[in-house]
Amino acid sequence: MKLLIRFSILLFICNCCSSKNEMNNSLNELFKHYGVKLNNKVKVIVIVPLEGCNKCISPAINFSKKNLGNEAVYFILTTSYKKITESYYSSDDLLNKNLIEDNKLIAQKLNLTSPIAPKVYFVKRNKIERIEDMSKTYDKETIYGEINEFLSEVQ
Amino acid sequence: MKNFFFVLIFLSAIIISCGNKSNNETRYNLSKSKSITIPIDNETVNKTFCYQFITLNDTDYYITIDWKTNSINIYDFKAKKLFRKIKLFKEGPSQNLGIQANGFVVKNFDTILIVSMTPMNVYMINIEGDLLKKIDYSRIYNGREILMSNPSGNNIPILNNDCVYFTNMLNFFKYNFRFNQQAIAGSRFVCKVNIVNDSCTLMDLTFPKEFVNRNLQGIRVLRTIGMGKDYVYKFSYGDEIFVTSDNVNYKTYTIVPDSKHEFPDLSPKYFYDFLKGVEEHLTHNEYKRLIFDQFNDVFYLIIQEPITVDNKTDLKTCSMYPLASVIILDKDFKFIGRKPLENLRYDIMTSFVTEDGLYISEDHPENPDFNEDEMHFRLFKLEKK
Repeated sequence: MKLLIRFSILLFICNCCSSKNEMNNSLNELFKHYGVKLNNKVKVIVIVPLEGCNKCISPAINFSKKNLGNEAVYFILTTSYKKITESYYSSDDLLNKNLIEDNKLIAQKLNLTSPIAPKVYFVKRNKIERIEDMSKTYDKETIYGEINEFLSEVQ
Repeated sequence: MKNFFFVLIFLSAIIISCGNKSNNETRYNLSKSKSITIPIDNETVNKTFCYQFITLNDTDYYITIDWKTNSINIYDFKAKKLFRKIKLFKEGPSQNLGIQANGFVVKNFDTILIVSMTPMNVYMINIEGDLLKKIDYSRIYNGREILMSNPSGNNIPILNNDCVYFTNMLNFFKYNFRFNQQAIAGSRFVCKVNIVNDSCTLMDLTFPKEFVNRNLQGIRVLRTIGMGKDYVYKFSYGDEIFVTSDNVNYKTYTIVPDSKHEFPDLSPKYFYDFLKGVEEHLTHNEYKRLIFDQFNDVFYLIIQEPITVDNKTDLKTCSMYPLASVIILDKDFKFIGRKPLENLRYDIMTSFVTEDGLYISEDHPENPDFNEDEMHFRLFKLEKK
């Protein structure tokens, strides 16, 4: 029985690790597609489906505007419509390197985002440490507070 | 002996071929014809969830809501250009209509009806954007076990005899997702707002008794006005069609398609796991649109076809732009044909009938011709085989 429990725990851990490894690879693929090299400075990646629900994406957009040019946080703006991106961001905003326009929907194709709400990846030493799916939380503001804490911790 | 066998084989072939001529005989097809392109302005996107094709004073108009700009855009369909844009928020405090449009239906350019969910109002405006009337329909919902559905997508409001009709959904939480007889009896799902005397009525029509004890979570109502001004209701799951002239009593028809449809499991388990729920829906059939072709007396029923889902499937694009086919039904709802549509090419949720035939939007983001500054529509013509 004990052996079975240990084996189950081991399986669970392996499963979590392989899923995060897969996500790591997918994130690398996404950044590679847009010609961006993920370096040690990147701590948080927020993938924002701009055609998602307004209430879900608004806090992410506000958060991105407070972090324009912050190389520790990258925002992947996923929509097939440039017009939608431009309705949220000015052309000056979009010049910032930490905003990546994902008009080819690569993040969606790599299953890095949920269809309606942002997903946040916390990265430590180039590895994903935690993933927050904003469609599964009501208190979105708290998550953004935690991102700020995480950013100050790892700096 | 040899001749006997030949006769036997010949007779068997006749019997088999006669046996195949059942109710689901394919006698009609939709043939792909010309494409129409209409340019759009730099603030509008070519994806809309509420639209209407209407002929007024011999001119064909295609009218849409643009939610980003909160405006009603009226296109001259034949001239392929924007005819008028009505911004629902006007400059200046006295003129600010403050309307948030969720759906609309146009009778003529003096009677444009905007349905808003918050607040629950029907606004009557004219083409200049002047507010002519506001009807509060929230009183319909007081103490009821129904919830308003978004008047868009497959649930676009319909206008008949100066009344706007829109539909509700059931409060499935209250009944733990499965509807007993009592729930069905209270499920009056059609709202009628009279734009002349401002009355609001919840029609007596309920979800069909055939649905008792079925899981109905997420079921959608598709409906149109068909032959003889009858209301035709179809639900997203199940092969039944319900026809009513008075929104009280109905007659049930069952479609007998050429291949069996498999509908998703609507049990509550998927309600708490959104992505699994999406997967469950994508791997099954779902009726998406019901359109009456008054020029040919046929119905087009657009159905999502199942796909295989794996970890590389783009769930969002596949749900918004599903693989689909168009089922053609005669006026008595008998199956007379099916047109499978190419994958990654069409936006089936934007489809309407004109005198020319059935138009389906080609504004699919994976379509090689996709251009966010244009709307593209493909014409399909009904043909006898």
